[in-house]
Amino acid sequence: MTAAALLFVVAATATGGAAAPAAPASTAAAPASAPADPFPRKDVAPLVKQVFAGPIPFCNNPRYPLTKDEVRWCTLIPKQDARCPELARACNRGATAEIVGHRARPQQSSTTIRFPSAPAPVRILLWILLAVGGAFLIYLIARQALAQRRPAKEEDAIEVATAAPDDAAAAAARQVETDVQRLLERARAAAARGDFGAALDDAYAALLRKLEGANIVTVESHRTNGDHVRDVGRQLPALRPRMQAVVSSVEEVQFGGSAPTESRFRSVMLDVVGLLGERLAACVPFIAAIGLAALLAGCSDDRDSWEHSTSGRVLVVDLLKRYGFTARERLASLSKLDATVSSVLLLPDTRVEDADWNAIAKWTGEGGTLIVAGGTRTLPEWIGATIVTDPPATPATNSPPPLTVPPEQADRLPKLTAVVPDGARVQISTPAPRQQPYSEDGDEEDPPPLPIIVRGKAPYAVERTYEGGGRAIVIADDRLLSNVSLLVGDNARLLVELLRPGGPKLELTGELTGLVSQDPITSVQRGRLAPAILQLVLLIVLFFVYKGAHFGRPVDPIANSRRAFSEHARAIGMQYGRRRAGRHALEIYGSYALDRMRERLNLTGGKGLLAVAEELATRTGRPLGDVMRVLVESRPANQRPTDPERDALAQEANAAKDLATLRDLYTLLATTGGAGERIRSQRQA
Amino acid sequence: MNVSVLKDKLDRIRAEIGRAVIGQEEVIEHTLIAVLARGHVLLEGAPGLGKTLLVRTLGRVLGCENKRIQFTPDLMPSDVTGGNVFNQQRGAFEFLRGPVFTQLLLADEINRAPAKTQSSLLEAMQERSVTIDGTTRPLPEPFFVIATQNPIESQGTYPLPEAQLDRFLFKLDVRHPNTANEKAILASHLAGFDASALDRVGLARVTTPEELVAMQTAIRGVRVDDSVLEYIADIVGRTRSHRSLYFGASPRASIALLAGAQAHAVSTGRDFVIPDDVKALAPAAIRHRVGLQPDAEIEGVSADDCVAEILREVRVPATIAA
Repeated sequence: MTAAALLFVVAATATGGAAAPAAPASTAAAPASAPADPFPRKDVAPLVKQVFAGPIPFCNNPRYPLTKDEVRWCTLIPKQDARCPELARACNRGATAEIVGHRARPQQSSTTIRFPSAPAPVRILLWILLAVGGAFLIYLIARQALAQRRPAKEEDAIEVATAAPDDAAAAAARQVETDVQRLLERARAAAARGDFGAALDDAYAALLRKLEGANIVTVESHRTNGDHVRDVGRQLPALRPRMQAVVSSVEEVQFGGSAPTESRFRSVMLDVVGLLGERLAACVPFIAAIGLAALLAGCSDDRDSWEHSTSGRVLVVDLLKRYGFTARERLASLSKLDATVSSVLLLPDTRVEDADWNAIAKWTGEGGTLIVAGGTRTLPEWIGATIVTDPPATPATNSPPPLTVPPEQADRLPKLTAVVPDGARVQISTPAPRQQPYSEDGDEEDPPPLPIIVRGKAPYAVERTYEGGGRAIVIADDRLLSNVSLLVGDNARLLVELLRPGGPKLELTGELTGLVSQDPITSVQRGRLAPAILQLVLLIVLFFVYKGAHFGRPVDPIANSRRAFSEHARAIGMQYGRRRAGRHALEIYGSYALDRMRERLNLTGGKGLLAVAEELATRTGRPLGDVMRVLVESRPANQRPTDPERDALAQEANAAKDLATLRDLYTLLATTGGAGERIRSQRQA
Repeated sequence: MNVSVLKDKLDRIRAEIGRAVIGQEEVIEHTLIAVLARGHVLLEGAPGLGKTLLVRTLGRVLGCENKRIQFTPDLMPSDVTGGNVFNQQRGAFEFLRGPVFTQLLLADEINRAPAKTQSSLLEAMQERSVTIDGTTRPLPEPFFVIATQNPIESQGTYPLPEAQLDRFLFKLDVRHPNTANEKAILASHLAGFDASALDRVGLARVTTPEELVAMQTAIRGVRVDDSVLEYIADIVGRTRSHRSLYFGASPRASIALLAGAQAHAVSTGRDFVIPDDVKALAPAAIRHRVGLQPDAEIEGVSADDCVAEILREVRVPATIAA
């Protein structure tokens, strides 16, 4: 019905150039430089039929949801169309869908971190928390760094001396290295200086420490290498043979009398490094699988699914390909346009920067064809036209006026009928700018834009050609480029005829065009990933601080400065021992013990040593002389008789004798009660 | 005889024994180690666990002459060692050799005989000779005693004296088989296996007595590092000061542990001893050589518990632990 009314006829008086076929290959090498047909005309109708032969969702589903804008096509499509049998029924349901998200990219601004609007106190608190967190982080890092430079404290020196009275070497020997990296470094260093025995030990120790860190083995002084191998076999059976090989090599040196050679060390080191990386390597497939899954999820069918909808473009692109265009989506920036592209179709979602326009201008000056299909952007002056989307004076009707060809363009387009829903129009700038900025001939004026299709009295599409052979076509909207449009009249043919002079190397731009970033920073900026990456980095830093991981040279954890009472007592005792002041200690303890004994035995009132000795001898059953000797020995020098035997003894022997006396005294004191007696009676009980 | 040949022989012996004795791998292994180390074995376990079968199979596979003495309360020492008997025809005393004159002696239920009879084996086990009426007669080489005893019966039994126990290299606990092994035993019997007719099993003779002696000699060449000697001495030494032990193991225990560790090293294909060899054999070599304190015994502490505790305390050579 209305379709018949919408028909318009164009005299198909093809130009001479149109009749003369030209090889597409030649146009591919260089943009179209003349309004000649770059490749021969084809019959579009069979191609459209082929395009719709596949399982098109909106053609095969009578309940296909249509948007309000898509419903506007319903009055234009045939009621019975074998190519798309169910669309008419879907149209009867009216608009049942809404556009819930639009892929159109908003104008991009620089990446800024904005806090949600909140009351001032909350914002202040947030800033305070951030500042405290940052300060704490800096403190931790600084403390870690200072700990590495901290000189050994005097206290530590005492501890080493007291813990190992023998000598410093014994103390050093007890310093057990537990850091895997340092052990490996030590192994390499030992190997470098030719000490392969030590190198083997360190390499093996590194392996055990690594496994211990992973809770696979338990390193304890009573556990043998066989225990470690069995532990590994239980938890990681696949690693057991390699672990056994390492252990065998090490044991051959440790117990088998084999020489620790360089080749043996290299073999063990290779196995050790392999085993150290084994667990990580075991995670690689898992990580790779996750990455692949994420990648596949990102490439899921959801992307561009709307392209298969009524207002999508997938069928249009398919038609163009069948016709002979090498139509494809352009992802590279428009600023990189070159002669390998013969025409560019600028769709509404495309973001075009000033640099892009400059590149496009230069490219059209060299013969390229720019087709602008709709959009609200401001077009550069050299195009000489703008798209006007002012609200219509009358509401949209079910019978929009057909698209007609002005008489002066009758030789430009063949005979066809076309119609699209109401929409924008193209306005030709007056006066038109003289020429394209990159025109090769600066003196010549480019002809002004001319309407090639009008709707009613308003231009629907205009075309301007440039001296360089290029051209710019501005179409009021992109409705001709929708899937459903191909079903209406000769819309498909009109579309092809509009694009054909531009040559087969056609690229469609969209929202993804130009997203290929020049550098990683731009990429992050465009992806707005800066906050996420910053948070990730912060988390990693915190994690490493928590784990005490290496920011610099690895150091042992800072020793706890608080010590047990027994450690203090031992340290003081060792100091006495080192100063050979055992006698002094005995005298002090003797005075203390004698006082306690007198208290506990009720011998206060100035009773002498004999009374104490008698009481103790009675209690312990020891000979009185023996007890008396102990008491006298523990008296200060000025209160005891001279001991010629003692004087004859060497210092070491005297120290041993003093110690024996002190122990005797302790035993005697314990018999009088107090903590020692209590503990002993508890033990006996 | 190098280690690989020894290991190959041992593997074959193990395989042959395994054809008749099912599910006692550890006992078989330890018994073989004891044989290689020229030691005697005391098998302790409930009746019916294959102790006697193991010894009989071992005798066949090793190619050794074997005899069995069933120890009973009325058994006399001369029933073990033999004695001088007056020959009326010749008018002189003649020595009649007792069953101890063999290569593999099975002393079955040894604790059923009184201490007097049990002691008749003391010289044989230690000196490998028998002295009767002032004449010392050497026993054939190789010579080893495998004794069995039943731990659950106390009626009519005589505990072995410490001196006797000390002469056994290992005391092995023979435990009940698990379900899978029991099923395998049943399947074997279903297939016609009869423990009383070992001939029908067709066990192969893997060694000769001469080869066995050569193997025993070769074992002594296995290297033992000083640190391992120290480890053995430390373990045995600690049995003498353990709070739950009334008396500790003798130096003979150290020697037994050393010899066993050498044999164990060979059985795993090594020509040197590692601490694992010692650790693996320590319970078998020590458990019968120590005496428990009465209070520990009342509390249910076993000699094995004490050995395990000692092994947890003793520092292993070349460990990286602090």
